Amino acid sequence: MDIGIKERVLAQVSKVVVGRENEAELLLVSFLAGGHVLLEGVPGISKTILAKSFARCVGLGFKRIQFTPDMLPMDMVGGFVFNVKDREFEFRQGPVFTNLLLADEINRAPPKVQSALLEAMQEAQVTVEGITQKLPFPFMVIATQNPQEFQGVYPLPENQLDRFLMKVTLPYPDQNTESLIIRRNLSEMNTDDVQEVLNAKELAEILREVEQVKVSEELVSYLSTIAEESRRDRRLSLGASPRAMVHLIHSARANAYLSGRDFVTPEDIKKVSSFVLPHRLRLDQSSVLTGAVTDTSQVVQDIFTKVRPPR
Amino acid sequence: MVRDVREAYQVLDRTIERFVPDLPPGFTWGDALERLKGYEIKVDWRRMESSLAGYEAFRYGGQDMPPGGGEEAVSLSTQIRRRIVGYRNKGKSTGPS
Repeated sequence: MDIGIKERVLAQVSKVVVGRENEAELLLVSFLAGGHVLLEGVPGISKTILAKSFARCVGLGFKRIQFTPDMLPMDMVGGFVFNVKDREFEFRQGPVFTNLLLADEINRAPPKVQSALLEAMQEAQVTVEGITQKLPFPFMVIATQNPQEFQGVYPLPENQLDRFLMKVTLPYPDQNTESLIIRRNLSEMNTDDVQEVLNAKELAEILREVEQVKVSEELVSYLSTIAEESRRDRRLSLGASPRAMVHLIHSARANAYLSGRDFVTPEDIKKVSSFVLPHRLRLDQSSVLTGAVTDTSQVVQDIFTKVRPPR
Repeated sequence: MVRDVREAYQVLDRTIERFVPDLPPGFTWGDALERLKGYEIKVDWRRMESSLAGYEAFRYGGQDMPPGGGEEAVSLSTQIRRRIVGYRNKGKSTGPS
């Protein structure tokens, strides 16, 4: 078991991104769990550079799509073009054919494009004119969105949000970190400084090891109780889906692996839950109006406070 | 009388539930240790953490039960009782120091 991978990745990412160690670790957890991440934050708080530097250090194919309201699905997945020389149509791959796709400002893409991305995220494949094409393995989407935008945006629907293993909100940096960012950027920061710390063979071995991390029966029961509680909570109109719980246990496994263990503890589940669950839950409007609750993170925290884990 | 590591941690669990009531029912071992470190408890925390790691490998990882009687967990349970009861007798608050 390679417990140095986290340190190696964080060391590389922090060469160009200051004060985002937690977020970089969450990207790594999601990557090892085979999931996609939604990074949310206002412009200029290093969402894009974080994603770029992460992609670079894990040594995989990387492409970026800047989403705009006039995009078409074929701008992302590709399409058939007529080859004049051979006198036949041939498929030209779009930018989605990569290992790590940075979907910048995903909420600016129209629903048809979001829907095409949904198939790619869920099935690791795309279908164009009835022909299905497999995407490279591994495939991960790191999407970004600005929560403050209201003009010309298409908020992601629940089913799309549920496809994201984690939603990570990037806050403004604290004062010390901000000073460091300003000082560092006096000279040019470049993601070319980030070195690859994984090769394909190593990565395949790590992904195999993560899959072997054990989850006890009692922890599976614990997760079912958590799911049940979320569905019974009157402050919510939409509780955790079975997919949410599967995502939660995969994330917990990856977290356990990065902590140097080959088994999951309740601690792993609790640690990742605040990034895996809140974005999939919906608050009941009457609870919001009465001020009983302001966000779903609070409900998740309450559920974990109440449900006794196996000890 | 504690017979093995499993029993030692069961005792510790009950002790924490009873004597540290501000820890919610959903606490994990990590939460408990973090809270207890704030009290004036004379425990070798490094040994305690190592003992807990062995217990967790058994409890969640299906590994063999660590040998011994979970002395660290027993000692921590005793210290918690002494500390909390002592404070109560002196009429002081039981919060972290």
